[in-house]
Amino acid sequence: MSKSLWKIVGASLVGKSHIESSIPCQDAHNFKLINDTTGIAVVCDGAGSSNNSHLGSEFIVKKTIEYITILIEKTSCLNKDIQITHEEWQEHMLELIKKLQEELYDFSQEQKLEYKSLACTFILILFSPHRILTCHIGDGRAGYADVSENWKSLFIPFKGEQVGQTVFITSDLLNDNEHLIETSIINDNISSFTLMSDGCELASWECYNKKEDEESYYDPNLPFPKFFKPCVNALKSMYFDELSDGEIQEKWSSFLENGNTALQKETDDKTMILGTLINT
Amino acid sequence: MAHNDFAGEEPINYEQKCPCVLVLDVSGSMSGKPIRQLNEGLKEFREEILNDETACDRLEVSIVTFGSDIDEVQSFSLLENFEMPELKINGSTRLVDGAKEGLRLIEERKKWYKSTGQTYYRPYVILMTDGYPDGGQDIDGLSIEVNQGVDNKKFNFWAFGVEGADMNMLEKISHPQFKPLKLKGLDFVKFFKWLSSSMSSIAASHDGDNVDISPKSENDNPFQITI
Repeated sequence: MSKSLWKIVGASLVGKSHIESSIPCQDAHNFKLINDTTGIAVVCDGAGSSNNSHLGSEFIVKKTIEYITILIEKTSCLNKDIQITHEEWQEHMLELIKKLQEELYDFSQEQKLEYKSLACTFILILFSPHRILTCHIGDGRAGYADVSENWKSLFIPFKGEQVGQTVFITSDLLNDNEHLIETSIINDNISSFTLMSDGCELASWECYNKKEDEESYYDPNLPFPKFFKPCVNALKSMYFDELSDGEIQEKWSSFLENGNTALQKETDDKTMILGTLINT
Repeated sequence: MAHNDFAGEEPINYEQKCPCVLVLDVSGSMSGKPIRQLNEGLKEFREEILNDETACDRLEVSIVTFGSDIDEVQSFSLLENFEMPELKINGSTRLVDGAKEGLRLIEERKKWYKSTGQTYYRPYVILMTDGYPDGGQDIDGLSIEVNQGVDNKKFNFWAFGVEGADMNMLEKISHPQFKPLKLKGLDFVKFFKWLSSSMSSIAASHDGDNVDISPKSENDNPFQITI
């Protein structure tokens, strides 16, 4: 009997500029399968200008997995037969962010750290073969491929005028601007998905192109198929060749380190999670 | 590529720009060896940046000189697009006017980035002087402008003094985050090597706030400070 299951790989690598300045990796990520076909993936990118943002990223990733596991059980939001409206999803996410902020604040008090020094961005994906639910704050990228392997982006990153300017889970700006907590529901046949910190975007995403007039620039915000298709194929073949999770993980880390010229040149922390649905 | 290895081509993405304006003193006191060393240092700066594959695509440099006149001797451009100009001596020391011209050029460039849909790294203004500003120069006004600009993260402003510079005045105009530094002798070559290395780190960073650009060893240290 045929069955489907997700194969997922993810890594967070400390950036070269951070190694030189003895700054820890400020990115954090995690993923969890609820069962063979549904799961959660989270990526947080700590603010470069915040001293303890690596702790903030780790904390938010851990707590998110805990809360979302409960939420999936409670709402069956990934069940194909259960409809969930955008309003309902948004409400759940606003509640989640509020909880995360409160817990992060308590953590800052316990650790005697400034709350804002824990600033990080936030990308959450809940996935099943038929649905993706997202929530994000700040920059980074996420996308998915449908069964025809058409890659699409899942949100527009929030970026300021200057490089690196964005909004974080700790930002005051969120209080009066709920739209900065972006949520979406995609009902589609999903074959693969990805989420990443912005340290990986130049290597894998069309994000800074020239317009036809050759004088101005824009962000097409498109996952680059020539990046993702070979990666997905490799992940599938590693599964069928029965490579261990450890071996796949090692290969993924090494690929993110120097798999193409842009990955080699990048000095920021790099995090990317890639998942693909395997039909056996 | 081995069968069981990850691989993926990268797309073409244009580089985001890091603007830096050099505001340089060419007053009479810089004549002779100082101006020769300064010109040599500028050439070194260009060579070092061109040897850095990231910085050479991102760092846009403009040069303003101040003496009796204020001249934009080089408008913002990648270093591969121009040869360093040979700076010439030009009378007195209109330092404040020179610095304000640098700040004006930064604002103008930022507007251009915005109008063309480009994000940019926080701009840097680098001021270098060996003397005292002319009488009547609005030091207080410049100080307010610099401090407000740095506080509001509009730009970073860093002043450097050569032997004979009025370091108290430089301290006054500078933001506490960027304390002015004094060069050892006339070693402009070492200074510009340090500056190119610093600008390379900044241009390669994601968020310029936490980039450590202090000299790494006494041998690399162009300043009268102890590492």
